Amino acid sequence: MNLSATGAAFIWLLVFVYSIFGAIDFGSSYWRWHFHLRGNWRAESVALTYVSPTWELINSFLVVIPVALVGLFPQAALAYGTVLALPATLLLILLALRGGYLQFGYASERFRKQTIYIAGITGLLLPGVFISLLPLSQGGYITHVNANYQLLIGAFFTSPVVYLFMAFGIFLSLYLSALFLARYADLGGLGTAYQRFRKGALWTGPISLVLGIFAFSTPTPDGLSLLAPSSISLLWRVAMALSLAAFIISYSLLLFRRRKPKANRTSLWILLLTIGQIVTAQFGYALSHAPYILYPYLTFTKAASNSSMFRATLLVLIVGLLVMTPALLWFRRLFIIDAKYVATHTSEPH
Amino acid sequence: MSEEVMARALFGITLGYHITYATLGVGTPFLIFLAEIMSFRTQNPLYRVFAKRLTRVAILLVGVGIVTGTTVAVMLSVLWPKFMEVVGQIINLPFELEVFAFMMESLFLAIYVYGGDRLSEKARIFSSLFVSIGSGLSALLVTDVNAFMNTPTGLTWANGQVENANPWAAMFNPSMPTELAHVLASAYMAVAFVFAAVAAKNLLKPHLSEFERRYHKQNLTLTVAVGGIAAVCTAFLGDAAGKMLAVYQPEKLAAAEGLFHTTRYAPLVIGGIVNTAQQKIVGGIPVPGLLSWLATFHFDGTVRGLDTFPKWTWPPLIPVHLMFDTMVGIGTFAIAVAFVYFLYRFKARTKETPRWLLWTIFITGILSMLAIEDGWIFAEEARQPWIIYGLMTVAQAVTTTPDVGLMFGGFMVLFTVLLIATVWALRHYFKNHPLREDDDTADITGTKTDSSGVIA
Ligand code: HDD
Ligand code: HEM
Ligand code: HEM
Repeated sequence: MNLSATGAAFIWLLVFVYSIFGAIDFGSSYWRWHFHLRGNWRAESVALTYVSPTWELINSFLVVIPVALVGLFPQAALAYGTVLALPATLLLILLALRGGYLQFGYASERFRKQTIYIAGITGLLLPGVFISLLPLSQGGYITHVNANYQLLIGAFFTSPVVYLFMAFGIFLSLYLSALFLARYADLGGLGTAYQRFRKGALWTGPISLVLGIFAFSTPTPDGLSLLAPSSISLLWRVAMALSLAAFIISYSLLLFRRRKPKANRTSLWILLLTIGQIVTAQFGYALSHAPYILYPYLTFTKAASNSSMFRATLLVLIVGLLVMTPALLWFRRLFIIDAKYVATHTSEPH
Repeated sequence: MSEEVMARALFGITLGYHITYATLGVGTPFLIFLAEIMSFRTQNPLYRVFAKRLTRVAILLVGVGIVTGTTVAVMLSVLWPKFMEVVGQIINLPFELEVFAFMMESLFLAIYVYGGDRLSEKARIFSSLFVSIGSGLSALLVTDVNAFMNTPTGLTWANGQVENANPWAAMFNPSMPTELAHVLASAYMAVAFVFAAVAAKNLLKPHLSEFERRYHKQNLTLTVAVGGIAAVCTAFLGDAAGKMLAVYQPEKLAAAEGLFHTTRYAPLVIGGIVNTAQQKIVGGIPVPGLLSWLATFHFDGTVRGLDTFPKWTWPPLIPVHLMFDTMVGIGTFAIAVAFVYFLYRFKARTKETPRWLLWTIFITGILSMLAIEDGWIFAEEARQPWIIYGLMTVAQAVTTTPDVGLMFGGFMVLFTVLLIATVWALRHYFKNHPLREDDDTADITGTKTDSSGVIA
């Protein structure tokens, strides 16, 4: 692989990791709100136990992406920075509200109620806002005059494809987080909560799949056609087939596993298969999107930084992620796979 | 106001706001770490109570710090796009490394806070140490970008383009060692004095229980000790920063000291108003030879004057000189206060700390945060008109977006709301959780003492 392809693969990896963790984080706040409204406090507290320690960490992961983009593809960073000035402010306000409330929620009972609502609503909206970057990058909503990029705000916000993508992002996030929380409840041995999340996953799963297929196959106006014959390679077909197979297997496992016998690994398999489904689908999408980082203006090669900065950035980011690994594993052991923690922190009554 | 002035004002206010949270976010974890160590060594439960209450403050400040910091990052790209283009090509490594420092900080903070009683005493010390290292590194790494702006190295500048980029050389630029060390020391100093001020204010209250008195007195001694030591380091490192300026940014030093002509035995003038027409400082107290010593280690050393630089590159002289003197004055004052406090404790072991001294410590807490703001504004203002010294002016870097006014209004509202909410949340929390002898220190999140018992 040449240098800019390595960088592109790296950016793709970062986006992938953030999309999984972000989807689980945002979706969990939504589920917390959902079960809070229905008075199902066991399911609510499962969602909460997971959200509390993790959101700051996930937020810091989000910062890696623009920083990496500036170091690897500064021209793309400049272009996106210019067109996103206003939308990014919106995104920032949603994130700020969410972050602020998750902090202030400690202070008092009254704030805590509001926190559930604010975190729930922003948790529902944010995946939709984030994913709308995909149709934006596929072209058709940006002009380039006199070396200045400009977003056609009207065209963007009236385009049905954008809303299709938004709905897809929201439902995928709900599906993935429901599966994750089902597994989390399973670890803590909480049968009823497990059933709630399983039901949640059962209805969001098929919707997300259908929306995803439509979003993928509807081109943006004057944009990149993801299904053009030139982009459908053998690798692409294999990736997409694997993705579909992963969905079918995991969904059937979920459907036929109503009761859970103790110490069963099925809920882990369902989760892993779904993550597999998302990796392969994203990989297929990346192949279709390939040379362009911003269609039709910028390809990865054209946007790349000078080679010394490029190499240094890749080195720093990869070494940094490796150095952080032991700490991340410790964190995972403490909060994510410690059955006792899940059980004791969720079984306290109100 | 012109777009440029508005952009500068907006950016300055945003950073000035972020730096309060950031400085507290660097200093508080360090104090938590020290309290954990003291608790381990003395087995005195009061230190655990202190650590727990500091942790509440840290959680809140770090959360809001993240929000304000993300705002700074966005604003940097939106207000100074040409500057960021250069950053992307040459000095992006500190920003990249900083992300990992943040990750380390939030990861270990979560472990420290939510790990609760599942962590051993050693694991608590270990995780609080890493929170403190993470937040310290994150502050130092952004500051390094600022150091590059002061003394850019590792590139050739040809027609407004970066050539022969060497990102590592840019990162290890000449002002990096002194600037980073001085910033870290000043943050530890300021935060220690802020919590000393809190303890002093509490000791000034009437009707304290014996337990409360012991608790606040012990915190006062710990924080004044940390603050005093850090203040001495700050002064030494500030002096080192001055010597660095003499070599790499003589124009900044000359502006700070209102020195118009290149001189041997140059005097240090304390206070006074710089008069550009008469080319001297009016009304200050000159100390002969001290500036030469500050700059070169020799009383007869030569210090370059402003007249060796073109006049259009001079920064605004009057505020720069006064801000520099204020910073040095506050540093000196803080050292004196810490010295007097310990003199009193050792001389009159049995007696109470006198009320005037408690009031003085309270004021020192406020002054030391002011010194942080003042020091930064001095450092930025004295680089004018350059954004990257000698390469790019502020006017060249500013955005062409016409919406700066709109952003200005929006962000002022956001900051006001955040500020009010922070103060409100802190007050509310400490009102609901008064200091109690039987405090459950194993539970740092404080949730078990809440009426509801829900973890949030
Ligand atoms: C509690 C805060 C505080 C205190 C008491 C001092 N400083 Fe300071 N100073 C800072 C907080 C600070 C700062 C906020 O950290 C600055 C702003 C930019 C920077 O690099 O550090 C700074 C910058 C700064 C600079 C400019 C460096 C540059 O622009 O590259 C010099 C020369 C000094 N300081 C010197 C001193 C001296 C001789 C002090 C004597 C006691 C002193 N400072 C006390
Ligand atoms: C990486 C760190 C920093 C960067 C990249 C940076 C960059 C800049 C830029 C581009 C400007 C506008 C040009 C100017 O007016 O001087 C500026 C101004 C300013 N900055 Fe910084 N800065 C940094 C750190 C800080 C910090 C920590 C503070 C703390 C308060 C600060 C305070 C200010 C102020 C007050 C101004 C306005 C000065 C004026 O109006 O002349 N800066 N900075
Ligand atoms: C030199 C002055 C600065 C210092 C000392 C500083 C320090 C810090 C610290 C310690 C935090 C962590 C939050 C906390 O502990 O309160 C933080 C957050 C943050 N800062 Fe600053 N900062 C400075 C200037 C800047 C600048 C110029 C930028 C813009 C690039 C910036 C961007 C950020 C971001 C993005 C965050 C949030 C990180 C996250 O989401 O995890 N900071 N800053």
